[in-house]
Amino acid sequence: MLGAILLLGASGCAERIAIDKFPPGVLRVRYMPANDWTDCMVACTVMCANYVTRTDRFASSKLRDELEAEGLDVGRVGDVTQWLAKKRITLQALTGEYSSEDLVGLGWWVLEGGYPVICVINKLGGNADNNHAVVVIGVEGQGGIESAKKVYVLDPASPKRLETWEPILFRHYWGSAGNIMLPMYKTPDEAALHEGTE
Amino acid sequence: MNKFTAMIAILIATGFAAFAPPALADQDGLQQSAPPHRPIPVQVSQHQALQRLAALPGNKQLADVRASYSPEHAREMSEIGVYATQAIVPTSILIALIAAAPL
Repeated sequence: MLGAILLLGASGCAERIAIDKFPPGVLRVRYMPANDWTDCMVACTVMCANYVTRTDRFASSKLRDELEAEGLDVGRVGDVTQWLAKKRITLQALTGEYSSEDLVGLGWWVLEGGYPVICVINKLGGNADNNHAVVVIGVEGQGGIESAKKVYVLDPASPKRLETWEPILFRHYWGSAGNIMLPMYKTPDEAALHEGTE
Repeated sequence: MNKFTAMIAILIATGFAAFAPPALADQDGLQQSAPPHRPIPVQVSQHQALQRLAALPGNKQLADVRASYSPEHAREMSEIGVYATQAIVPTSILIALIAAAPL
């Protein structure tokens, strides 16, 4: 009897958190759950920062502690950007497009550049207090984001972890928060920047 | 009879373990299946163009945007159990418990 109960319990847990592999072609970003209801931005930042730097040096608890120690807001885009800048990482807040357009297109970053992109979404709409951060890691289908059949999203608040959304649904959620996208990349070094300005 | 039942239970548990998705605690398993892609480095000219874009009034004010859970998400989390405290029983312990259980 005890065995049966344990078996049922184990299979129930496994079903709720089911994700055993990435779909083909998506960016294999290590998932980071949020541990607190204000932690979605922190979790997304850690996911992307570890991916972009190809390390595991960023951790949610440490990031949160450091932000709070500096009097920064863990959920505010500008504050997280400021903290990342000290680590030579650029978090660029842009109003993005659901397109493959250079620099401003979500598809350009994810599919052509190979960058996971933090997108601010709002499932309830209207109220910015309901903003939520997720990480877009790829799409299903060939031929660019415009013709994608699904959008793959790592949601730090989701029991499924990897969410698969219809493009129309993703665009609705994203548009409700103002199409805000936050691509993250390693900041080019000062010498290269100087050369680039000449 | 008891030994036979225990054996069946162990076999079932092993089968479950073989096909079960990774536990939440095994987050690294998500990435260990293959190395990550290598992002194409952002060129200096692109970085500068992005900074110009970010400095536009519409984008500049995005620094003030906050992203945190909505009350809806908070409720959802409380319903499923907070991630950090959600206990996942390791399969080895599960099998040992089943084998030791008085059937």
